[in-house]
Amino acid sequence: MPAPPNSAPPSEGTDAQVIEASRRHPDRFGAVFDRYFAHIHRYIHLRLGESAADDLTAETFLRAFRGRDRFDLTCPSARPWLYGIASNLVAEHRRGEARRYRALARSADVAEIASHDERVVQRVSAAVMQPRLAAGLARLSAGDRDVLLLVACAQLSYEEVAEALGIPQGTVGSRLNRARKKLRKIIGPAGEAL
Amino acid sequence: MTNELEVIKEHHDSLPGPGPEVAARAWVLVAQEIEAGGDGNQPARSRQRPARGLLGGGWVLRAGVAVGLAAAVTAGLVLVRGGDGSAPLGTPPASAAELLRSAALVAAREDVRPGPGQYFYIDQKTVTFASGFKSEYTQDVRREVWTSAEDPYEAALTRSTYGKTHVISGRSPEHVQSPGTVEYQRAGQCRQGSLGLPPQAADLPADPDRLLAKIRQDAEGFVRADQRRRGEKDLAQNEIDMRVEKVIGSRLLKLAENPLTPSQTRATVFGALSKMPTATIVPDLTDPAGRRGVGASLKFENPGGWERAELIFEPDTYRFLGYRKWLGRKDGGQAKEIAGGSMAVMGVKVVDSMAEVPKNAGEPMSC
Repeated sequence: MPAPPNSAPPSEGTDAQVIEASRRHPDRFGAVFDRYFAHIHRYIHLRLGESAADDLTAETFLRAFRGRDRFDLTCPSARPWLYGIASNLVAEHRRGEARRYRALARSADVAEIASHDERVVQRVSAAVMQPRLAAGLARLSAGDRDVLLLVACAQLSYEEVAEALGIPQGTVGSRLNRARKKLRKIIGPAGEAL
Repeated sequence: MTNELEVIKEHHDSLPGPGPEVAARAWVLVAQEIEAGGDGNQPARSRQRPARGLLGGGWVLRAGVAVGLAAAVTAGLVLVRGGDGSAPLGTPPASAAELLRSAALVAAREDVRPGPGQYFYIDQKTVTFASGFKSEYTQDVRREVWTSAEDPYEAALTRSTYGKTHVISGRSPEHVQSPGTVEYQRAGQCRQGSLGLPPQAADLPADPDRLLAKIRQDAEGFVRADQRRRGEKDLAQNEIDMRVEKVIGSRLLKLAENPLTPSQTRATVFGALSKMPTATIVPDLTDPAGRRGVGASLKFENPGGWERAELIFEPDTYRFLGYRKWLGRKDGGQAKEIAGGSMAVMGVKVVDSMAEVPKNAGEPMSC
C-alpha cells in the first residue's frame, strides 16, 4: 500500500522502517538526517575538526542515502551504519587526523609557560581537547582509535562497533583493551593529569 | 574519578553542534540527490559539487550515469490509431500533448522482458554533463547495461566506454577518464548504485491524472520538508511553486528515462507528461546519435534561470529515441541556454549472457 501522500518524515518508526520507506519514497530519508546529523557531525568534529566535519557529515549522509538499499533492515537502528560510513570517511583522512592530534598535543608546551589563570581557562574550556588526550589518541593505531572513539563517543556496543567497522566482536574487545591501556599510560591516572 | 572513556565522552559532548546553516547546506546536497531520482543514478546533468576543506578543493567525481528512456526495440509494426487525442502514424502531431499521448500508446504496446536466466541488454550513447566552480564540461560515454529478470533494481553489469571531453567553460577537468577507457561495474561493487528499476515505479497509479495528482502531493510534501530543513521561513509562494513543478518534472522524467520502467508505467508517465502546461513541441531536432526526431520540450523555471528537457521520438512511429537537456541562465539581462546531458537509446534486447569482465579490470572511478 502506498505511503500517505504527505512526504514530511514520519516522526515515529524505527530507523529501519524509515529507511525501508525511503527506498520507495526517497524524501523520507530526511527523518534519518534529522535524527543523526548533529551526532555524526560531533563525532567527525572530534576526529578531524569542525570544518572537515561540515563537509564529511554531508558526505556521510549522501553516501548513506545512496547506499540505503543495502542497509540491513533487520537492524532497527541506523547508528552503527552511519558511524561506520563516517569512520570510513575519516579513514580517508588519516593523515589529517594525526596532524590534528599532534597539533593539539603541542599546545601542552604552551600551557606549561602560561599563567595559572590561563591554564584554568583552558582546562574548563572542555571544547579544547586536552593535550595529553590528543597525544594519546595520536599514538594509537587507526584501527584501535576507531574502536575506542566509537565506544566512547557514540556509545556503541561491541556488537554495534563490529557491525559499523565490519570486524569480528572479538577484535573489537582486543582493540579496545589495547587502546585503553595505551591511552592510560600516556595520559596518566584518569581524571588527573589531563 | 573518571576513566579515559568518560574523559573522551565529556570532551565529545562539549563540542558545539553544527550550526543550522551547516545542516541546511548538507541537506541541500541530499535533497539534490533525492530530486535526481533517489536511486543513486545520476541524470545526464552530473551533480558534481566542488569540494573544500579536507576534501582538497578539487573535483569530487560522482558517477554520471546518464540513463534514458527505453526504446523497446520490438519487432514488427506498432499500430497507433487516432481518435483519442493521439496523432495517427505519419501525421505530424500538432502539439506536445498530442505527441506524448501517441508515444504513450506506442509505449504501452512495447515490452521486452527477459526470461529466467536471461538478461535485459541496453546500449546507450550518452553525453554526461558536469558543473562546478572550476569548469563545466561534457563527456561522451557509451553505456551498456545487463540486468537480470530476477533483480531489475540493480544492473548486474555496466560497461562504460569513455569518449572525448568537451569543455564548455573554465579549465580542463583533471579527474576524468581518458578517451578509450573501458570500465566495468558489477552489481554491489560500488556504494553508488548502477542503473536499475526505480523502486518508486512499483506502486504508481495506472491512470495519468491520478499519477500526476500523487506525484504533485508527494512533491508538495517534499518541498515543505525541504524548506524546513534549509531553514527557509520567508520563501515567496512563487518560488515554492517553481520548486514543486521542478520536483514533479524531475520525478516524471526520471521514470520516463529509465529503460527498465515497465511499459505500462512508461505509458502512464507519458500520459501524465502530456498534461504538463509547460510542454511544447519541437518539430525537428536530432538525438545525440544524429537521428532526426520530433520532440516534446518541458521547461522548469528556477530563480536563476531554467532547466529544459527534450524527449525525442521517431517522427513516423513515435518510438522513443532519447533525450537532450538544457540549462538556461539569465546573465546580465541576456538569456542563454547551454547543452546539458543527453542520451540516445541505440538498442534494447534480451540476451542469454553478459559480457565477460577482464581479470585486470580496475574499480570504476566513480566507486
